[in-house]
Amino acid sequence: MKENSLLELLRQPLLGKKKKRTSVGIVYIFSISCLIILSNLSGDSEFLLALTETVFGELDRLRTFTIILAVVSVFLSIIYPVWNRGPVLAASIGITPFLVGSLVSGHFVIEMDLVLGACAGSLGASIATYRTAKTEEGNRKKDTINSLVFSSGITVFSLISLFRVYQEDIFEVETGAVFGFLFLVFGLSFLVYVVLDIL
Amino acid sequence: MNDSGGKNEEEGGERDFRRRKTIQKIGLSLGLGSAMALSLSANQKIDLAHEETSEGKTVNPKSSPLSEDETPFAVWQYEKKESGYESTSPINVVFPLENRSFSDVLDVFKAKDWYPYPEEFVRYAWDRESQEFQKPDWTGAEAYFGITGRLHVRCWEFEGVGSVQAHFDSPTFHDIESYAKARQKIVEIFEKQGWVAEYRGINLRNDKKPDHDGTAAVIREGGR
Repeated sequence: MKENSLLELLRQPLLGKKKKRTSVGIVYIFSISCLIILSNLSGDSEFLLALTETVFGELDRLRTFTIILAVVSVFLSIIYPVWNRGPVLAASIGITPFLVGSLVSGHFVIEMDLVLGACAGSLGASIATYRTAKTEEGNRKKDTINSLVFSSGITVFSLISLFRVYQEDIFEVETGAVFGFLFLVFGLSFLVYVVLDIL
Repeated sequence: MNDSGGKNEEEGGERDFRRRKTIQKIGLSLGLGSAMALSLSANQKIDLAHEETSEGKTVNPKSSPLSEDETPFAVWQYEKKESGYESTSPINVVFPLENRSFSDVLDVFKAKDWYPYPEEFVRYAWDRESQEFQKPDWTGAEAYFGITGRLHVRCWEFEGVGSVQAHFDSPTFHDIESYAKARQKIVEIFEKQGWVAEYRGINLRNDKKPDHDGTAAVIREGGR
């Protein structure tokens, strides 16, 4: 029964097209979450610190690694949907490191890192939507519409967040904001294409 | 003829209905997305427009810093290496607490909505009382990972004096982008809360590239 529902989840088109690839995506999210949690808790717990030092040599090395993984995740959330569609999983890959970071530090605020992840996630979700629209059979286009609905929500979330973070000095030429803005522009053009195509 | 016309109409009606449903769903999703983005609290990136004056940027590589045991507060933060502790960044803000407590200082930082204990390297400072290197009492940064750069502080309290190392991290790789701008930001943050700061209040002679001139800001409680 439990196995069945797990299999059902892997078939969910919002997560991905092919079961094997979807599970790779889920395992990735799970692994980076564990690493980030381990890295944070190692600062407090002697036991976890010893574990970290056995595996990574020193805590600083794990911390460098998780920071790089956060950057990699931002780009993976754009690459994943090209490989396997799945708007929700694509966006999750981009946002998860920052949400887990918030969770372990017990503090949440919309800041530039998270916004960049969300912008990349929006582009990822839009790419997934576009690819689903291109290939889905039949005139109901159920998967496309679900994907489109999700993508529009996360896109508007990212857009407003980006403006909010830059309320005072909007678009100071800073790498994060420029990337974020470009991600959104590309993402929106995919979405507009799909909307014109199906409505 | 009639028959197929009726069918078309029916199909058209159904398509209209589906289209309306879709638009409704998208509208709902847009509404939810906006509501979330507007309701969560957002961190305003600290504005770097008011730059540190150029006179503060003279780094004298030959200056001989105060020794750690000369002062109650720390002079450097250290990295623990196999060969021992190695100094990395200079302490650049000092709080002689007097009638305030160290937690009052931390409260000002916390009110900035920073992430406590973010993803950062482990650094130590020298405690002359116990003659040991200590981990920070509190650390905080604008962002948890700082993949787009961030302001980052580490705070220690020794003998009733707060020692703070503040710097701007470069995106992702966390090289030091600036000590001077960070020191200035901390001064501005505390002045806004009514504290009184002497910008180059004490000369620790702990000059450090890229832009630390060897002096620490001294911040005291304001006269109320």
